[in-house]
Amino acid sequence: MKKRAFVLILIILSVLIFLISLSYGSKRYSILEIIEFLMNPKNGDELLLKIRLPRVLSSFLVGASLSIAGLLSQTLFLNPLADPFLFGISSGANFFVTLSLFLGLDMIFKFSLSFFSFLGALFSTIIILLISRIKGKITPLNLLLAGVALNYLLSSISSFLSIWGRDVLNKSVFWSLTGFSTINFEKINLLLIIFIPCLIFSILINIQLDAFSLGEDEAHSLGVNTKLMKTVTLFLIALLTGISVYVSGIIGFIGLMVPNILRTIFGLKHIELIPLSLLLGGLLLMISDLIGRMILFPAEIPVSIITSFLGAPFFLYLLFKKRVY
Amino acid sequence: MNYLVVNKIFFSYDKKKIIKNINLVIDKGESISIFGPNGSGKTTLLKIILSILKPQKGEIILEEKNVFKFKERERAKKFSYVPQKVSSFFPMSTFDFLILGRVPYINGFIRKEDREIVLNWMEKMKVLHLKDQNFQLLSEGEKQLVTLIRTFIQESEIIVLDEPLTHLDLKYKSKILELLKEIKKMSKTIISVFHDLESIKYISDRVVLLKNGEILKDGEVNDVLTKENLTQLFEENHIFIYK
Repeated sequence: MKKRAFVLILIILSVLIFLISLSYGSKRYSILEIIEFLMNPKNGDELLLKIRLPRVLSSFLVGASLSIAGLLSQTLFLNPLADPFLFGISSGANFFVTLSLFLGLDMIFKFSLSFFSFLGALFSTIIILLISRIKGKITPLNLLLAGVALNYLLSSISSFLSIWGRDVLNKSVFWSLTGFSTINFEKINLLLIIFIPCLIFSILINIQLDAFSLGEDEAHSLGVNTKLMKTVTLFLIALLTGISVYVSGIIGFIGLMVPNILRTIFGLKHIELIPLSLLLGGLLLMISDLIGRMILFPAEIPVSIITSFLGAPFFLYLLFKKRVY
Repeated sequence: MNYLVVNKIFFSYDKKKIIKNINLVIDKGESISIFGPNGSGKTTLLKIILSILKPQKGEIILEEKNVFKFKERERAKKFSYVPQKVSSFFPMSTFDFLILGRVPYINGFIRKEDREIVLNWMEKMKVLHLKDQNFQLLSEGEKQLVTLIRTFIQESEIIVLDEPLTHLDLKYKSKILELLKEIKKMSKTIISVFHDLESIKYISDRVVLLKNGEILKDGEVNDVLTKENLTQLFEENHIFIYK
């Protein structure tokens, strides 16, 4: 009953926040006007159609992507503190984007930045895996440490590149801080093209992910091809994180918070956790973006600042709640 | 035809030789224990049999087929594993833990019949009251009992146990040993490591003494667990055996 009530509240809140996010801004609309617009978007206001709707949709999708990436990272690395941001995967994506701006590779083809973003996320995940394998088996702790170290290293190189090439500084600061305000439907289509297959794949391997939650040896003896599973999951994490960073810059802690909240209520089953991460992650990021637009209105606070503000205390809470990692 | 053959196994880790030329032939329905001091290679040998670790040399043959060439799911239908300590990294209900025993039989999604199998076993083994409890918060005894029950759900022929009684009190030790006795009657093969002689005598037909990665003695329990052999195994003159 508790679970059903939670899902119901989640759905109602998502719809509500979606409508409020569309209605709120420099020009305000009534909820009725928003519903009318959604019934027939093509006849709607340019502002709603070209600016606000893409923004709200993308914040939902990025929140969903990051949450699923967080869930998969936690299961793969057997570590409730795993998160694409903390593990340096987002920084990897950011680093490759900055590097491509620095080298002037951002215009090679239409979505080249998104491609570099994915490559960077993949680069980071592989590096973490390699670092953690130097001494044999991967333990949760050496993975977290490797991730944090990588995160700092790549962030500092990105900053260095941005300062060195001033032009890059402008572009990359603009790119990483503007978040959802420069979104358009082309980007949303790209986001969907990556997100939907990743979602389907994650659901298809749900039972293997469940088994993996007991550790690699256990999963192996339960009949999981652990090598294949790890490779597929790494790619899914890199794709979901890469596309998110491309669309909205680095946004931390969503991938940490959402799966941890859901696991305490729903337990193990990825068949439930994956769709719920989609919903709760999407909702949380929509709310964060809305708060960012409201607090200093008409000025906007980047959504990453809001999620860090919420996520950092949550991280501390997790650390204190479970003492040993 | 030999059932399970451990053939000329060598295994090293970080240049340290852990298993040196181990050969065993295990019959179907046999209960065999591996006994030896800490660091003698017992767990490594079990993990090689389970193909969790791949030896540098040698092979494990089950019904004339190399175990390392089995598909993962097929292998899991043959072998199940009860480690010394089962830890779940995330909260999960006991039911959800048990249903993982059906992984080798599931294509993508859990079916109604899988749920029924789990519920039937839970009822039969009198653990239905644990169904919705968080597996992480069960006592060590309950965890081991539930893990052993999972081997029924997995329907495997061979059960590999690595010191399953280590963290248990007397109540659960007895429960697990009784259950193992039942498993023996079902003509399943049991390969176990215990750190006490009583459990071995209670459960096993045969015992292998392992010292520095090599077999010191292999034979029937009463013939092998003698004071002389154990003194040689532990290099200790004051080995004390309860009669």
